[in-house]
Amino acid sequence: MTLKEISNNLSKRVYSSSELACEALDKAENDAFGCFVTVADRDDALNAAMASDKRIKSGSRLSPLDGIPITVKDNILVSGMKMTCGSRILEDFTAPYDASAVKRLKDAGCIIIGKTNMDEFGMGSSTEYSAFHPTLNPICTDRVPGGSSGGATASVASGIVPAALGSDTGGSVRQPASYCGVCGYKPTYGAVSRFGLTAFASSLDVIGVISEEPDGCAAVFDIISGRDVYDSTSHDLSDNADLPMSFAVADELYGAASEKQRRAVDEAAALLSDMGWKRVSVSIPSIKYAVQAYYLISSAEASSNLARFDGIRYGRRTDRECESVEELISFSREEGLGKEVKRRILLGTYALSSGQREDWYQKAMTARRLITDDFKSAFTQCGIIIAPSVPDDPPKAGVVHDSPLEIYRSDIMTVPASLAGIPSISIPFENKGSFPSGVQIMASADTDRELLSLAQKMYMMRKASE
Amino acid sequence: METIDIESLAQLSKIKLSEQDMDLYIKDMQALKQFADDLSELEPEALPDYSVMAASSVMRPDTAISVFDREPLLKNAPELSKSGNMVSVPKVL
Repeated sequence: MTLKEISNNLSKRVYSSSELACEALDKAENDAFGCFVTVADRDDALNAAMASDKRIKSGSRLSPLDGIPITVKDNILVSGMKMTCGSRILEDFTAPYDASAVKRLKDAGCIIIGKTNMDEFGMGSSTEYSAFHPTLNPICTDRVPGGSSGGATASVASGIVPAALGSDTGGSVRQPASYCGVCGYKPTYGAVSRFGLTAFASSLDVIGVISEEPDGCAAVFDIISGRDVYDSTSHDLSDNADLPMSFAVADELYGAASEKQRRAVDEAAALLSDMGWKRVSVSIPSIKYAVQAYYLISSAEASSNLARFDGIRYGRRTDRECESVEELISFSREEGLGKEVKRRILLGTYALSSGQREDWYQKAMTARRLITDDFKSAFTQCGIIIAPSVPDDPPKAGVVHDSPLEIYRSDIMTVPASLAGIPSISIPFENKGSFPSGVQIMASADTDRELLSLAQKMYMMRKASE
Repeated sequence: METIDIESLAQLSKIKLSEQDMDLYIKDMQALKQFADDLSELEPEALPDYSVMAASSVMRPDTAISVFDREPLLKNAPELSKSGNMVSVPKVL
């Protein structure tokens, strides 16, 4: 059932928020797909739900989300709950305050059911790089659910909650949404406050939403978006006029996808044409630099951001006898951080080190500028750009890769929008056979509401034609 | 190809690596270096740097606020002093 239907049923008192929360908690505690790192304290969640029921009964509902159960990715702070980021180094860390997005959800009456599993610090695309356990794809358990917001996505796809907060640095909401057959939305950079989201790559990180349909993403976005004094990059969206009714297919991405993913894009293009949208051609040649630029920039930022995990003020500290603080930090990080996280820290440190900065980081920043400019110029010719969300079906679970590059390259579909800071939503298409294939719809910065409303129209039309 | 001094990189990153790990990461780093070579044709001087802050600078009022409570922060510390109000670390001097 969609978030909107559940919200309406709560209003009509078909069932209560307490009943909903109880059912979600039961499922979360059973956790058949390994979605959760921490399930909320039952009494806390039920007390919040009962308070919501009282408001609904007295006609003083706080928002359309009042009484709705929701999950939060485990790199976002929920006061009093553990926050691990999927890492041993934060295994016993308890959040001392709420992230701004979480505070807004609580103030709107949402019931937090639990903290969802993820690739350690968001570094991965399978949720197999969680230090605790992998998450399974609810559609087919021998495939990965995608990542890094795999737990969040599976918590929606398996029907535990109607919406989940995730985070998207290079595709971590859109890619798992595509693999699990739900919608995953990455807002414009800065449209949602990052205060209380554990920093991975600060210039790319965005809190995103996973829900069954775009309207569910929009309902959550309405609550969490907007200027926040604790994040200087956050801003209110300006009121935009409607998107120009023309679209383009990102040929550079289309050509890199499997036949099945291309069919999904063809289907979306046909649907847009039926809706009266005009197809135009645009070129984004700099996309060929996107994956390299993304990995250099995100790793460089991560090497700096993750320096705070040192086992001194919080987090896991080594049990070894250490002679110096330096040694204590080095051993604590050695023991507490996973292989992929260490790899990225080393890469980022190298990219920023003296003598390498000009060749690596600087060139990646130039590529980012080119990509941003190419998108800007493309959006003078069309309202939206569509592309596959993933290059292929989800990989088999448990496969060991020889080189990290194999995995990095598969991020090609999602990193361009991240580098350009533009909003993008993946919605499921083409469901013949095994897996649904997501189609990504991208629009220019700050047109989030228009993008979400168009995505909903497309989603409904596609559903009606099934 | 220029060799990567993985030992000094690990030191800069403040991560103690075993010999075995060093071998693994040096292989990865060489591969990543080749991968990033695709960017070498770009001329950084040709374009201004990308900045997420480019659009506008947003200021907040210069007023003191209390965001964090001391107690939950200290509760997360791996080791506290005997008095319980300070984080404890190995001897520095």
